[in-house]
Amino acid sequence: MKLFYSAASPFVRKTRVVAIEKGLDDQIELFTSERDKRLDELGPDNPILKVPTLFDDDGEAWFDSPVICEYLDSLKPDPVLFPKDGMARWQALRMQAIGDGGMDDAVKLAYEAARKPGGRSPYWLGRWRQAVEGALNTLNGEAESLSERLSIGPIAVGCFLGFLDQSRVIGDWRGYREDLALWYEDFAARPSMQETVLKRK
Amino acid sequence: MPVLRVTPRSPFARKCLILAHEKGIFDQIDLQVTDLYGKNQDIDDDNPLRKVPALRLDDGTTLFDSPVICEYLDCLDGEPQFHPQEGKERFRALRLQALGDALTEAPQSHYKEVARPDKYRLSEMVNKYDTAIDRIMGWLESHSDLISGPLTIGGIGVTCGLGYVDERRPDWNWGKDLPNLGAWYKSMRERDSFIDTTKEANAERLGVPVP
Repeated sequence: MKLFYSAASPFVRKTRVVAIEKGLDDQIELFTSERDKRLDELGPDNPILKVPTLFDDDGEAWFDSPVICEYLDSLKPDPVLFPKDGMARWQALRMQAIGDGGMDDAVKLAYEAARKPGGRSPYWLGRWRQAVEGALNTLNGEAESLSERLSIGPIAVGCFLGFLDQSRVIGDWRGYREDLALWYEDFAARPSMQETVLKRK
Repeated sequence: MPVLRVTPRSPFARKCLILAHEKGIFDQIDLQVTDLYGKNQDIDDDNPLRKVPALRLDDGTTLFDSPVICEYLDCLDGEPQFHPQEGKERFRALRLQALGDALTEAPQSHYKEVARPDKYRLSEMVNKYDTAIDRIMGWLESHSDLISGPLTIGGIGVTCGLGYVDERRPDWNWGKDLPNLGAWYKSMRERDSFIDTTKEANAERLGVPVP
């Protein structure tokens, strides 16, 4: 398999962490291209032109990151990262949505901050920041359930927090969120997280 | 009964409503209208990301985002109809949903960028979202074999995306250039699940003005 990737994308990181936790990483080759060449590289298979895009051994392209992660999970029975059914499944997917949604808004904050001074919308900076802070508060209140079992939920949350550390878009997120900070300290020490630390562009 | 937080015009809420309608469980969900941008914002009680849709279950758990809610609703009776359970069929349906969701997001982001005061607006961003709409619709046109066939969450997602392009960009007139997609969408628009979930139908159901 081949993964079209960027070393700076937290969504790519999610798929790589899943691959490592599943023991599939040695079957996946990473490749990339300049942003302006993505239309040629990805356009015929993924018109969204976004990383991550996974090409399976038949050359079929898969996206977005939740689809890739569940696809990888289906290739091998253990460990189960997407519980098959029942509340365990919905809790894992809900947690993934908090992690992914937090990442989405944190990435938007980073893009807004990259606009020229005077051209950054205070309204949207405030709104996205509020969503990121809200996600963090909810996660801090649910830190106990994050450590219960490994699934796509904690993996997405770990990648979200890793992006906040790397991008510094909201400064220090730990502050009064001690439970979440403690959970993340443990989680970030996993080999799958250590091997995929985000790099700046 | 589960409570779905909605706005009359939210295309992602509509995806959940169309699925519930197609599945025949529309009357098993309470709808709660949500003020996302006005004076009575309380969505963060149910979704810290401050978005609709969010589904509040009887035990107080809330589920989001729309793909999670749709799969939950489809599995309520233990017999999912719109989420193939295994193999590439499953992931093709989910991938198509991701494309439909991206098609929905593009006019949404476009609208938000255009609505900014001049000094905060970037024309390259406005153009970027338009290009994305063009590219995704062009791809769907040339891969129409992936949307024809039994309806899945993928087709429902694409329908919502096309509906939202029509809603936000009524001047786009894409149907004549994309005949396969246009014909498929026309048949989707004739379904009760589409007709009963327009912003007008939703506003009437919720007892609020049409946005």
